[in-house]
This record gives sequence, structure tokens and C-alpha cells, in this order.
Amino acid sequence: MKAFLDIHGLCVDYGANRVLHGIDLTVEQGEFIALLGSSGCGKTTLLRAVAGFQPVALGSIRVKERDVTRLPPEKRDMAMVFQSYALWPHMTVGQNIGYGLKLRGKSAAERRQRITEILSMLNLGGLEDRPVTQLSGGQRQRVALGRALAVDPSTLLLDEPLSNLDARIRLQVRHEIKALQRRLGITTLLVTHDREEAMVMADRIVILDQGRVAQMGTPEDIYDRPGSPFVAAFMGAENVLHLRTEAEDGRPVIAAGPFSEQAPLPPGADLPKGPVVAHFRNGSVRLHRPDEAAPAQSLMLRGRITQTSYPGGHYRYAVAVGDREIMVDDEARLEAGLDVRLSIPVQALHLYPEKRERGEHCNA
Amino acid sequence: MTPLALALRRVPHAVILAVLAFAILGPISNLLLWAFAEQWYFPYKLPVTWGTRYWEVVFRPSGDAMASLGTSVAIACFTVLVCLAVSVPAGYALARLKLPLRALIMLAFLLPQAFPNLPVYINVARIFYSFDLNGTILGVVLVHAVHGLVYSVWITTASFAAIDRSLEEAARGMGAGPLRAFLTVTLPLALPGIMASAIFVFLESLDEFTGTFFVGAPEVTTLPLLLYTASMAGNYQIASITALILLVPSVLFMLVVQRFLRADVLSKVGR
Repeated sequence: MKAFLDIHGLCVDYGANRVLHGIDLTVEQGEFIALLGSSGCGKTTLLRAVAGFQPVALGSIRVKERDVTRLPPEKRDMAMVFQSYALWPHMTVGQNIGYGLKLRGKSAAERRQRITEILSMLNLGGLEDRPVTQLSGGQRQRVALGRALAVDPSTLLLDEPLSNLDARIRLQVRHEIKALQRRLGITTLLVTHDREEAMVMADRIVILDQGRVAQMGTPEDIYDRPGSPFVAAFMGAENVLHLRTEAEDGRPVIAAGPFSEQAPLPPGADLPKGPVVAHFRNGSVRLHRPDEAAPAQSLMLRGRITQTSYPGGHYRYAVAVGDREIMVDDEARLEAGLDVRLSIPVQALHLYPEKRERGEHCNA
Repeated sequence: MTPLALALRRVPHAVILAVLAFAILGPISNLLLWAFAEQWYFPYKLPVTWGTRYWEVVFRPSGDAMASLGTSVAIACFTVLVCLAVSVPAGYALARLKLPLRALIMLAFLLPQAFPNLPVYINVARIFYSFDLNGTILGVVLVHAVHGLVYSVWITTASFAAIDRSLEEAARGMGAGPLRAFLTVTLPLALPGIMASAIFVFLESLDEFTGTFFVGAPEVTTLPLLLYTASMAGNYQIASITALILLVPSVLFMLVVQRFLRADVLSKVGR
């Protein structure tokens, strides 16, 4: 089966600056894709290029085999929801939602019916004649979504739709958008810088870094098997250790260092001998008193607790290991200044060959 | 603080207010006095005989005043049309332009104001003479339009710039072509600012004297020209009544403009 949306070799320039470098992405009908990245990574530019608001330098965008690369936005049959909502302040809720229907030549009766339908779908019933300026942030976002959905677009484009909402409403609207997208089966591209938002909402996540795709895959893929140190750090594996691998009896292992003991490589890891960089999450690390037995299949480290805090549910420790600081989440209550051993199950380690140009070296 | 000290602290405010009130209301009350004075001569502090005889003279259907009022209003309306025809497309384009270039073009509209009026208008009159535009309504409208374009381009640009680009993009995404998006979203949102600029242009045109004098006189007589002729002839009553007539639209429109021009538009004027 051919892909529904096919982006091939897409390059976008801002003046003399190339901001997207050959993006390839295929999206199936009904799929929910999240474009995830920090600010300036090109995710919004990519969305705007797909929508037709950003001219494309090279490459193509095809929807259902139709090349739309050079088409103006109004001819692409896509609908975008903007971060600022972009509701028209001189129109009522009903007029905002009915705008696209009017352009499509729908009669007043048809429009009214569709508007009522959309409003009740979004739990906005009865607000039809309200000026949009009188709505709350959450209501505005839903009207913006309703305006986009009213015209039954082939593709729904969401540009950080939740970032202007406060935290509690954000969770609720996030859930609503996801449920609606499922029910309508509408192909959706979401731009976000919020990892959890992307994880919860999307079928597949595309991580962008400096105008290139860093990794693409299901939330589980990206979270459990980050393909690069950048993705690992972006997905929350922010603890970093510089280690070495060596061969023992012909099998590669993680070599012992001044603060670490020898450990086996994670199953399936395929690394050349030499320096490696390890990324892991706060939550994968366990703390042990120095006299406790070490669990099997774990990397053991020695360190000293320098700081403790309680973010809720567990304690968070900063542990000095050599001149590195490792953040650890553990349920046990321990005091600062204590010498501890840390264990990290080897399957929780994301190991990458060390890039030579990375200056700072500290062997744990 | 004692009540006396408190009261003393208010004195400077009161003095400043009084001076301001006198500066604003003094000339107007003098106009009012003259408008209803039938006879007033030295050494009397107030008119000797009061009456509305000159009002009848001014408002007589055959009188010059009504004819020149008509001419003035017609010229002002045409000037507004010419200015809007230029400033709506120009303002939209300028609002979407990058800053340095925008500032340069907007400065160009300011140029006619930068030079002393007289030499500019004398030269305009000389050039218009070769096009047979002297003494025509069209010639006067063009002179007024040059003047009015400063206001209308600057204010219109500011009102277009105050509109978030994504509002227009949302319309495009919904299926509207560029023109329709402009007519249904951008233009209605910019309308208050455009109206305000139109009113400024209208008032400027109604008040304009120098350009009208050099290009229009003697064939085209507007109210300010009539006012000038009347006061030169020592006919203060006619001059005062004409001035009062000119005052009416100004005050009315200023009240309207105050409602139209919002802070977010004003803050973008000239940027």
C-alpha cells in the first residue's frame, strides 16, 4: 500500500540558511505522528512546509499520490490548528467554525447542522453565538480544533496546540484530541516540544535535531531504544558516564574503572572496543549501602550522596561519582554525605561509541 | 499633613489646568463672541449689539459659504478616496515587509512634510500649470492627497501590522484564496485603523489652506479660503462663523477616532 502522506528529501531555506536538510517521512492513513524536538530544531518549519505556508527549496510532499509541494495552502485539503489559536476575533464561535463550510458552498441550514454537531462533539454546546473573545483558553483551543475539523480535512496539522494552556486543562484537552483523532481516523501531524505529550498522543514519534530526523519510531522504540546520545538525553536518559569496553575471554565487557566495577554488556549490544558513552535514567539506578550485596547483571559504581530532595513519591539524590554527578531516584531515605554504591541494570544502559571530538573525558 | 498644606500642594495643578483651559477655550470663546456680534468696536469689552444676522448671511442658499462648504466636503471626500486607494494596498504590503526597507519607504511618504510648505506648493502649482490642473478640483484633491498620505499610509500600515499573520493563514488553511482571506479576515480587522486614517485625511483636507491657495485659487474656493478672504476684508463675523463650521466635523470625528484607534495599533505607528 502506498503511503497517505509522503515527504521526500524536503529542504527548506531561510534566506541563505538551510533549516531543514532532506527530511524523509511517510505517514499512513489515520496515523498520528508527533514531530518532537527542542526549539529551533525545524519541527514547526516542517509542519508549515506541509501546510503550504513555508516555501520548499528541494524535495516533494505528496498526499495520496498527488504532488502538493508547490500548491498554495488553500488547495491542499489540510487544516491547521495554531499555537495562538488564530481564531478570528470579529466573528462568533459559529462563524469561526462555519467559515470553511461557507467557502465550500454549504447552505445555511447545512452549516448550522454541522456547527451544532461539531460543538456538541467538543462539549461546547450552546456557545455558537458567543464572540470568541469571551472564551477561556481551553474553549478557544477547542473552537480552533472544531474549525479545523468542520471541513473534514484529509490531514490535521497541530502546531503546539496545548502549549498556551495551563497544566491541568492541557492534560484534559490532550486526552480529548487523542480520543477524537482515534474516532475520526484522521491523519494527524503534531508539533510539540513536550516529550510526554508526544509519547501519550502519537502512534509514531519523529525526533528532529538541527533540521534532520534524529530518530523515528513508536514511543516504545524511541524511549527504550534511543538510537543516539542526543535522542537518549532528549528522552530523559540524562545521566551520562564515560566508560570503556574491553575483551575478556573473547567476550566484550564493560571494563572496570576507578569508580566502577566490571560488568557484562547489555544483551544485543554491538560495540567496538574502546571508549563508550553510557546514558541512563534517574529511575533505573538503585542505591545500596556499601555493605549490601550487589545485584547480578548490573553496572556497579561507587559514589557519595551530595544532595537530597523529595519531589514526591520517591527521593531524588545527587551522587558524586568521581567528578561526575549522577541523579538517582530511589524510594529509600538516605542522608547526604553517605558513601553509597549504585547499581544500574545493564539493560537500562544506552551505550554509544564515544565520539573522539568530545573533549571532556572522565572514566568512571 | 495639614489640610492647608494639602490644599497648597494642589495649587500648581490648578494653575496649570487654568492656563491650559484658557489656551484651549479662550480662542473658541472669542470666536463665539464674534459669531454673534453684530456690532463690536473699541473701547467696548463685549459686543455692542448681539444678533444672528451674519448667520443668515452665511447660510443663505445663494451665499458663498454654503457653496464653498460643498466644495470643501467634496474635495475632502475625493481626497479620502484617493488616499485609501493608495494606502490600503501600500499599508498591507508595507506591514508585511522587512523592517529596514519598510522604514525607508515610509520615510518617503513623510518627505513632503519635511520641506517648508510654501516652496513645495509653489513648485507644485508650477508643474500643475503645465498639466492644466491649476484651478481644478482634481488638482486640489491631488495636493491634499499628498498631504493626507502620510497619515493614511502610516496608520494603515500600523493597523495591518497589528494583525497576527496566523489569522490570515488560518483562513488560507480553511480554503480561502489570498484575496478572499484578505477581504474576510484582514480587512475587517484592520477597518478601525483604516477608518481612523480616513477621518484624519478628511479633517486635514477640510482644514488645508496653503496648497489650496496656490493650486486652486481663485476658481476653487474652499471654506478655509473663504475664511481667509473674509478676515482679510475685516469681516470677523463671517470668518468666525466659518471657523465654527469647520470646528464641527473636527470635534465630531475626533470623538469617533478616539474609539477607533486602539492602543495596539497606535503603538505600531511608524514602526
